[in-house]
Amino acid sequence: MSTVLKIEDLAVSFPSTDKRIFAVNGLSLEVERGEWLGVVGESGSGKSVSLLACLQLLTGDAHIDRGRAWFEGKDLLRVKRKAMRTILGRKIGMVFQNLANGLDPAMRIGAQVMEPMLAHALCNKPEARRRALSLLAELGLSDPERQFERYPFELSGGMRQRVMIAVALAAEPELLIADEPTTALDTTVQVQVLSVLQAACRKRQMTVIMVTHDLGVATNVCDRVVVMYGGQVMENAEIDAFIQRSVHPYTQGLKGSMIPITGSSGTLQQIQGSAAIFHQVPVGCPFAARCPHAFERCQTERPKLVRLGAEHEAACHLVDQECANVG
Amino acid sequence: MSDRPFLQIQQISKSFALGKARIDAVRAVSMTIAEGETFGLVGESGSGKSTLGRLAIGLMKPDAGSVRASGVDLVTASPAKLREMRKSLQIVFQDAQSALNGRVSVASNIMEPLVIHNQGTPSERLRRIGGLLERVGLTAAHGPAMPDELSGGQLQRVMIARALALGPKLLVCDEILSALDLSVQAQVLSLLEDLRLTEHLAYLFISHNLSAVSYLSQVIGVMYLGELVEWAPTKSLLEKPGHPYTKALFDSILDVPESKAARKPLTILPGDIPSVIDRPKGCPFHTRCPLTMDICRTVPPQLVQVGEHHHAACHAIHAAG
Repeated sequence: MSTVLKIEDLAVSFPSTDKRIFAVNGLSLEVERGEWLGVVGESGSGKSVSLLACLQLLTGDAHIDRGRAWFEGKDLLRVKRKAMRTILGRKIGMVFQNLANGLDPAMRIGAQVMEPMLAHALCNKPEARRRALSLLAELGLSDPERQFERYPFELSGGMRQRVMIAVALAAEPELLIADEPTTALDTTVQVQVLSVLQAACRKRQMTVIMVTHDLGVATNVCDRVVVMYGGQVMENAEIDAFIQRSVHPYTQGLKGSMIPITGSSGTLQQIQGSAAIFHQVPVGCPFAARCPHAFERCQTERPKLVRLGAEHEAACHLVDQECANVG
Repeated sequence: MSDRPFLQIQQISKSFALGKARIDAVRAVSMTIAEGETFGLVGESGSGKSTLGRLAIGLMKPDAGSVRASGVDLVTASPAKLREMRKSLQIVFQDAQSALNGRVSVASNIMEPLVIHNQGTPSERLRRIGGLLERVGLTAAHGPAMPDELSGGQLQRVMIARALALGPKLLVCDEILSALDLSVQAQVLSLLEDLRLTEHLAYLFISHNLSAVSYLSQVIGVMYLGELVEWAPTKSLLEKPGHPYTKALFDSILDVPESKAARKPLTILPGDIPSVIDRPKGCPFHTRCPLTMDICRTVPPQLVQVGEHHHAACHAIHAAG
């Protein structure tokens, strides 16, 4: 297998009214060809910011403090804006949660799906039209000819999200970055969108990075999951290891917060507090303040990722200690 | 749990004008919420859940039908009587940030209902606010803070504290979890359940989060295109969903599987939810239903009892039963 995207030691910070916010603090992750990677964590854990940084899509005063993001031998963080335009939409497709940002409200659906093909000069207009229609049909939109002439506001949320996917796939990118693609949708529509997304990506053997806070979604479609907190990787595990053997207290807290469909109230395992905002780079483990198992070392020393299996690693002193005791 | 009905809704309907058309947001819904009971209301966006929530506490008047709380008819009640009833009927909205007054402190926000309803002396109010903040898992120290200094979860707790200020009997919770992180959702759910048990509070818990609804509710109602298509005790609904839409809805929940190999296929409900402007004739669900028969296309099914306290509006069940 080959690596499609490799992020190394990425750090991103923002100025805010009084203090800087350190959103990403030394993130490293990679995604293999054909793999469907889930990036999970609470809001503010740095999931979206790190991926947007790699695509040079961070706006305002965000500052990339350090890091590399290797894609096809180039460091995306240092690629010139002009060259980035030949990558975004062409080599890397994107689907966002916020539908309003993703589609142009004043442009017909058809034109939006054709645009990436025409902008990257992949084919002529009649061919783009033919491909766009077949793409819309593939994504389960009934009567594609009719949808082609409509505007985004005339479509339901689920339909718009499928159009966004069509736009993202139009130029046949190798890598798809989907940021909470189904979060705003109703459950029945969510399943519908995930199902067409999965089928379309499989057919094209695409690599997918999906940001989500929903473990139900992640465990049902991803091959591997990276858990983020405080802009760092807490745990990185192949899906079965993630489901059955996750060790990080944060991962366990997230799993415990999932509400089971039982029909009777039991006690929910809660993580205390809410995701922290870091006004300085965390010295120790970013999760220490909320962790029920934190001890002195967690405050002072940043835990390194410890390998627990062929495709399983976690950054936690507790795990590190147990491994040392066993070993 | 008592079985004494607190809220009784009979055949209420509400429509809105949309250009020249009228859309039926809520159509002939009847339901009952007992004292100290959580009634969970689920359905896709646009199915009329929020409108029903507002009708239930008299924030909106129905076009037809009656809403009775503690025996008082909210539709015909005088403004003074309605204001009196407001103490026992409160609502918490999804977007706490915009529902709270951002220019005054948390304490002033919580105090407002006490001032409006002339409750206690200023010093008694302050004490009450301290108690309320602690009741929802905050501390008196949060009182002087401004709303924008608090996190989403804390703001939602402030909203709950404000709703509790007048000692309500029924709290309508309209999608209060949607904007919150998973861990914070769990905290808020635990708080709600705790309040129900200690304060004997009843809830109309509106959410499209089916797991949260089934965790919290003793009774669940399912809405589709403004109609209540099924209504049953939670256990009964989960074990034996009567309406095909209820089944599809609960089938679409993505649980964590035991392993990659044990994943269930992604089951899809065909088609999209029809537009309320162009409502299907007969059963509203017949355009997507796997069990559609001829009668479904022409005759709207009535909500009838199909089991103990279990009601469903579906021709297929009625035919089989």
